[in-house]
Amino acid sequence: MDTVEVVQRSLDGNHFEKLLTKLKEDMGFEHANFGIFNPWTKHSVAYSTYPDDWQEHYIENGYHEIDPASTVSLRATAPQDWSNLRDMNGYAEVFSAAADFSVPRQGLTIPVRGYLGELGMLSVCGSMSNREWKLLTGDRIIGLQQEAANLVDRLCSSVTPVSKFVKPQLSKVEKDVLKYVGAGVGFDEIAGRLNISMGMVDLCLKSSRTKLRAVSTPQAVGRAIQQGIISPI
Amino acid sequence: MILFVETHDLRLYPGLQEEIFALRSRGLQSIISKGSEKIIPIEKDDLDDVAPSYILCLEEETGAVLGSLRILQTMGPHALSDIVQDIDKDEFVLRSPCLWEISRVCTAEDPGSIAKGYSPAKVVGEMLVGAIELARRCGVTDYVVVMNENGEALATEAGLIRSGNLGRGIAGNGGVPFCADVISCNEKTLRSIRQTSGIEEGVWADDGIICRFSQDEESLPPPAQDLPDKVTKKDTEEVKHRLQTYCANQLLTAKTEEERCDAYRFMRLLNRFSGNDGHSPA
Repeated sequence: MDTVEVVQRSLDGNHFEKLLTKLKEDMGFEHANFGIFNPWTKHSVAYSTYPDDWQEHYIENGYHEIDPASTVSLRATAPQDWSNLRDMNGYAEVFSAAADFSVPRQGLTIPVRGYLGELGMLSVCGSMSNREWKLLTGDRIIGLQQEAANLVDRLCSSVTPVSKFVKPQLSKVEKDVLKYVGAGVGFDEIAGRLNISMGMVDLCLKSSRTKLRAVSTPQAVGRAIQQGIISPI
Repeated sequence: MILFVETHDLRLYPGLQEEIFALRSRGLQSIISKGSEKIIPIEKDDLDDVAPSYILCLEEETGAVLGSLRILQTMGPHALSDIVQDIDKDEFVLRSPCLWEISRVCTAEDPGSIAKGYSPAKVVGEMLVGAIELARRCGVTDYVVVMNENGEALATEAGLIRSGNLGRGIAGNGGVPFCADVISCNEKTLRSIRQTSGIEEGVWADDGIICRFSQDEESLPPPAQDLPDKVTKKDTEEVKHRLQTYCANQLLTAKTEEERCDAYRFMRLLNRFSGNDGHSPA
């Protein structure tokens, strides 16, 4: 993994850690961890309910670069049970250290992608028999997929982590089109007011959605206002 | 025989990804060459660079790739998100953690394999069975399948139950006709494909077959003729390090007291023979 930035706690770290605490308690796991990695800027952000001393030890020793639960799972499509990673490089070193901090060996990592291809993963772990673990994860797998999706979208849309990633740069025309759309002006009227073609209006909206990581135009308008890129008319 | 290959697995199969792209180019040649006579050797797009997964159908005896399809999460970039405007001007993109996408379905029309019972429709059927069984294990309830006309015909011949709730369109500057459909990952869909394609047994490759096609350097012993005539100190140290790592792994993953004792016993034996415990080697 090419991560070069050490995982950091952000201003809204407490909010995500509360979400993870609720998740692990509701679903019956001992710990939960969520991280996201931007493959273009190489930045990563992570939140965890692991003990603080384990988190510090993990970062100080660069385990995020060799831990197969991270390095393999980030680029996977399917959930990765940690028992399948035993033969991978880094497993023995990381997991033997984790045992010193009473971090359970049984775990599952759910990889999830952000809208523009950011790599996220939700990990849960617990101490129980193999049979109980299989039953629990089998029962919770759909819920875990949904929680992972919820977390990746929240993290991608929250202000502080976004500043660590590519800052959206909208052109003047794109901003003007979004502003008029937010005011409820029809596309043909927008084209007339800005002296551009309808095709250009369509293109501006499409590129704005991409730059703002929005799946729809209303969401793009909302994010642009939230990030101070446009002001409502 | 079906294989599920993630990005991190590709290191085990050198040349496999290139073989997939070459297979796709043969299957999609008439489309990607846009009517010219120039043969384009590989077919690859931007989505192959965002760490997709592949389901492959391999010929059991030779390991030749008979068919492949690509799987992507719809949470991230995927084929349909790029071409959805061509189906419906509505801006919304299908995006869900429980919905994956299948695209680039292609088969090799090899007469030899067909003679052995691997018709293109059967290959597609096996791949779809594998994909659906995988999805059910991963908490995925549906697939959106993006297919060209040939893929659509093969999927229908394989017994795929279509919902018909997306649509058809022409994508890109090349004007490629395609269709998209959502299929449920349930018993009914599996049963339909198995019955129509005549798939009675499990489709997944077993570990024994995998070892034949995998080239993981750590798992295969060197052929006898490659062993060095003289073992150097560096060789010894390397082997010792590997054994120590193996011991640590065994100890860490021991599930019972008996396993733990065996791991400790082996570790003590290793230390004894390497002279680390103060005793001279036997």
